[in-house]
Amino acid sequence: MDFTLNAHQEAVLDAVGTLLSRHAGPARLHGLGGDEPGYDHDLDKRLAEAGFLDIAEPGSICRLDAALVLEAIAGSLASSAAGWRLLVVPTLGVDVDGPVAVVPEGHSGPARFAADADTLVVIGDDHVRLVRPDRGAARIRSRLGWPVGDLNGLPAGGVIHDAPVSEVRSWARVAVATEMVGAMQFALDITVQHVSDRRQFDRAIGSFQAVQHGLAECAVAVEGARWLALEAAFTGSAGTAAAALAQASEASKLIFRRTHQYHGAMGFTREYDLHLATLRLLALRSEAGSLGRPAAACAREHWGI
Amino acid sequence: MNFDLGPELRAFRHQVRAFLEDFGDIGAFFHHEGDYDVATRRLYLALGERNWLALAWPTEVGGEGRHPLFEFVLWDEMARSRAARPPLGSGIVAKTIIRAGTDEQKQRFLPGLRSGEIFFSLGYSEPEAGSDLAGLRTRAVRRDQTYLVTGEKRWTSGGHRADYLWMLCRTGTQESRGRGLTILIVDRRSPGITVSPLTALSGERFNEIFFDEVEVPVENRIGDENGGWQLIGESLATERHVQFQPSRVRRDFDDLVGWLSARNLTGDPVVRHRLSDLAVRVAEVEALALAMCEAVQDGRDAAVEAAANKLAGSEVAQEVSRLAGDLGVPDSVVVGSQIEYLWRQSISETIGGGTSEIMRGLIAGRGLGMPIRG
Repeated sequence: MDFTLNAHQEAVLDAVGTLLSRHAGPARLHGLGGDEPGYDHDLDKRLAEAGFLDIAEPGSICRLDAALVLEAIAGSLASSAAGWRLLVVPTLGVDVDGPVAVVPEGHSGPARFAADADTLVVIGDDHVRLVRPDRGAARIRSRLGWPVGDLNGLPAGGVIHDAPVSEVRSWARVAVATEMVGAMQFALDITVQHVSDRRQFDRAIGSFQAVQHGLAECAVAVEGARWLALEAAFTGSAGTAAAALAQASEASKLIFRRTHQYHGAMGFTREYDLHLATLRLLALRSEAGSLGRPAAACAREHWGI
Repeated sequence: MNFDLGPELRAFRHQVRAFLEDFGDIGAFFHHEGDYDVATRRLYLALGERNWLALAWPTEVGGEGRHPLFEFVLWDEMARSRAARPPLGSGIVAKTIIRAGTDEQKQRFLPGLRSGEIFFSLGYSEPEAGSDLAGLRTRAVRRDQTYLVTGEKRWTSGGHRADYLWMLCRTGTQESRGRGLTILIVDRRSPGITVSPLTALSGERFNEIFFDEVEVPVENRIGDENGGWQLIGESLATERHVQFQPSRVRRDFDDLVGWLSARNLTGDPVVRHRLSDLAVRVAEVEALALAMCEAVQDGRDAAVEAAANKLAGSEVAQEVSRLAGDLGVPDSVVVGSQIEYLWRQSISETIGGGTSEIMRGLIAGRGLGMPIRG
């Protein structure tokens, strides 16, 4: 066992970090519309050109590198469907270009990236389909930090023969869990910074033990979610994937509550960055539910209950 | 022991409900991106016509002389119908003027506050002073018969449409903390005031208000110079019964149950389990509100009971909206959906009007008598 990054991973994260520091981040998201952003095609292009979107080895069960890259992308608040591309597309066994949206079979209504995706991955109980969205897929008004489209029914056809359905669903769970980890870490980092800087009662509010304990619990929750998500990406285990998503969903509630609480009125204003990460968590948690009750899936995979 | 508010208050509750039938769709309890001023103003004027903005004021200044719990019932019903929140003007402002103002100030401000015609906004919070108000920096310097006010207030609700700002200003040294603060009423249209918007996640417009040597006549000072801290402490004590309305939580929960029932989701055992847990919390909030009312009725200082009411009520309001978000998929991501609206409105409840941390500190220190570290 070794939880440190190897030299290759360090180099990759260093490079992707440099790219993201220039072309992603909260200022970029504000520029794209803030909590109601457009899709960042420019960033996708840069990530693709540098090879980061195809980092998962086809056929390999280990997607740890892809998950690490995704965590960095999510932590930079990118308005991108890179999560689906990095972790779900490699399982499909077919080539897919451009932005992807992943939805459950029969889905109608709001879906992340649906108005911007070239391809929809539709996950059913016993099949996976690849379809082109109706060009008319309208953007829907959502203020949760993601570009959201309105799917008015799904086109028929496009079934991928012999697609590993449960693996596809499992990797979708890992993707959402990892994106949550990135957003949670962002929210936690700026909160720690805030309580260290903000002085009330002649001391940093972060020197109050109640605030320290509250954020320590947040840190543990995010760490738990991170290691589960990365373990799931490492092992490809369906049970761990479900556990990662359940843990990340649960942790996200705590992170939302505490990070807003410790920011006071400041975190409640649109000009500040915190909500760009926390509102995303709400959307991701909704999506976690649509991937089939992750906690129940975890219990089923691990214990058959 | 008796858990009934009594026949008079019950009858009054019915009166309020009947009154609200004409106003139930205003929705000004919550904040919107749109402009609801016209309808809200009409509501306050109608309340003024009934003299319901002065329910607990003494009769000699035009009030009804009723027990404060009449105000609790009024605003609790307003919360249930989501019509509006208790205005600052007829509450903290008026009651402080009644207690500490001059006769001239009473004549100048009370009639308009009672009729619902004039609107006040609270100028306490500053960039560097939120929970710790004693650290505020907006300075008022006396020059002959005026104060010159310079500084910045922030997160000011309604500051852009207020007629007056109820300001806490520094008149002593920064080191004097609470002992060097003074209350001034500032005409919001005075030269030297700049108001700029800050949009909140709820859609509400907060404001940053900048003061550049704004002239405020001495006759707009309430109480003594450097006597502001004691006055705002006393004014909080007179408003504890309207700090948080338990029926707001009941209403949110009812709406959630209705929403889930309409979608045939209440048969799901997981949904039922989570709703049941939450129903208990809602009942707890209502019981704590009764405990606060009992303390107020008894004339006791209800600080701890009110803090418990605010703490539990605001936390449970968030729990309701969180569950709504979890079960309301996928509507919960769409702007304007009932579910999205519910949680967006609950985010600030544990911050505004005294944070949960301040409430917990108060309960621990004054309720449990635990030592307070300076």
